Parts: sequence; C-alpha cells; structure tokens
Amino acid sequence: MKRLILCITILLIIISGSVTSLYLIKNKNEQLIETLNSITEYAEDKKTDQALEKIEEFSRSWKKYYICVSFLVESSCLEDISSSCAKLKALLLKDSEELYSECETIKYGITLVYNNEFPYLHSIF
Amino acid sequence: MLIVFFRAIILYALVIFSIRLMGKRQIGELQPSELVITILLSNIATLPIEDTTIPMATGIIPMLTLVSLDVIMSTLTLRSRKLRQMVSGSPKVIISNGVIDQKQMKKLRYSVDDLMESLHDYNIFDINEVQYAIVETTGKISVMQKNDYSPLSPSDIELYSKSKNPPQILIDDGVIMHGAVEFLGLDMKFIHEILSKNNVEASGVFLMSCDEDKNYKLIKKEDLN
Repeated sequence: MKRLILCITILLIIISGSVTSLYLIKNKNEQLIETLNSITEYAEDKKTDQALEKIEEFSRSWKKYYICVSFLVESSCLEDISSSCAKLKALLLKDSEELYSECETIKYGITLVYNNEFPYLHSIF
Repeated sequence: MLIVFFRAIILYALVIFSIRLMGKRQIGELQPSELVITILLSNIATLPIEDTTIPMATGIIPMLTLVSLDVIMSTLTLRSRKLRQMVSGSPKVIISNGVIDQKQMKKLRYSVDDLMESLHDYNIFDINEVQYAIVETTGKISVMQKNDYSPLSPSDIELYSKSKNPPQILIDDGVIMHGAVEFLGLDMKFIHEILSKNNVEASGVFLMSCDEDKNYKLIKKEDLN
C-alpha cells in the first residue's frame, strides 16, 4: 500500500509540476515578447536610449529565464535565442534593419519553447 | 565531462530506486508488462547521459511515470482477475494426463524442441514421464511427473516428521541480526549464553546460525593477519 501511495504521489507531482511549468513558461514568454515589442517600437521611433534600456532589461530577464527553462527544454533551442539576444545591442547601435529580424527570430524561438512543451495532439503523436 | 559524470550518478540512483519500487522479481519471472518497462527504463536512462543538451527531466519524468504506472497497474490486477488476464494473460495447459495438446502448443508457438528443453530442466528426458505441464504467464513451463516416476517422499512411506523453518543467521560477521533473533522467538540472553559458552564476543564471530529447536552452529573469525 505504501508503494502504491508513493507512486500515486509521484504521478501527481509530475502532473502538477508539468502543468505549473507550462503556466510559468507561458507567462514569462508573454513578458519577454512584450519587452521585445517595446524594443522594436523604440527603435522605430529612434528612441535609442529607451531601446537600449529595454534590451538590457530583456537580457537580464532572459539570463534568469534561461536557467529555469533549461531544466525542461533542450538547450540547443535556448542557445539559438541566447545568441540572437547577444546581437541586439550591437544592431541597435549600428541602426541596422537586422534588429527587427533578430527580434522576430527571438519571438519565434520563445513561442517555439512553449509550443514544444504544450501537449498538442500533433506533438504527442 | 563532469556533467556526464554527475548525470550518470543521479540516473544510477534513480534506476535502482525505480527497480526497487517495482518490487522483488527475478528477471526470468517478469510479467510481460514488467519486462517492457525494464527494457524501456534502460533505454530512457541512457539518453540524458549520452546527450547533455537534453534536460535530465526528459529522462527522469518518463522513468518515474512508467514505474508508477506499473505499480498502480499491478495493484489493480491484484484486485481484478479480468484485468490480470488482460495484462498478463493466463497459464495454458499443454500436457494433461500425459497427452500433449498440439493445438495449444501451436497457438503458443511452442515447438517440440522448446518443450523438451524445458523438460530437461526438470531432469525429465522421456515425455512418457510427464503427467501435466503448464505454460505460466511468464513463459516458463511447469511440469508435474507421473506418480510412477516422481521421487519417493517421506509421506509415501507414511514417515511423518515435523516441518520447520530453515535455520536463521543470528550473527553475520560480528553483527547480531536482531530481526532473526526475534523471528526464532529467542532473546539476547540466549545469544550471550552461547557466546560465553564458546568464550567469544559477538564481534569475534564470523557466522552463527540457529534453528527453532535452538540447534546452533558457531564459526569464529579467523585471524587473517
């Protein structure tokens, strides 16, 4: 009986842990995407200082998020986002159009992290 | 390199925990579902060790899920005979009253060679000696010999003796096994009496066994230095 209770507990922990992590990923993704949107808006309006500030904020958030999410997601996926993230500052200072495409790449990567974790039917089968 | 090392340690502990959680069964006596889980466990455990880009969770979660499901399923099958038959199948008689059920053997895809091989395990080399044979759910064949060929037992000659449990180890390499002392209904006074009679401390005993009738065997530690 002890063994059965332990197993049911393990399953419940796994299920609740998975649901919670999914919820956290979703929330954090929304925050990050919002920051990215602000970066592109400031960059379009030529507000470089504010955009730089947002990029710094994004980098800090991403570093923290990376540590948490690397427990759940394949690290190669996250490294692509990290390398794009590292380019943002330089692209902004160069006033390059590539900044927008990098932001879009990051957004896509972040969305992919969530989509890969969510149990869609096509992901399961 | 250290990542692989630490991951191997964690997964080693986890595999042992998982196997212990599944319970005490010999590999040859695994039910089909347990065999599948054992094979899957070993495969899943290797993935995060080999590939450090994969998070440990992708190894740990399926392992614990499979083992937990197996324990839950085995508990359910204990309560439901129908479910047990669905999951583990049912034993099949292949020889009854000395007659081989060829249809059943064909169904089970058992060849004559398989049957003879199993009989050899029971030291039976002549099929005429077999009264009854059954294929267990684990795939093992259990055989009952005809009375004429089965070994003589004390009851056959009306020789009755008291059945008793085998002797228990009371001291193992200097350590008193309190569980065994309790199992035999003895107390520490009895142990100390024997030790003083043999002029030895418990720490100086290599092995001491005893049965229910207090017949004991004591082997002192040798001086190996």
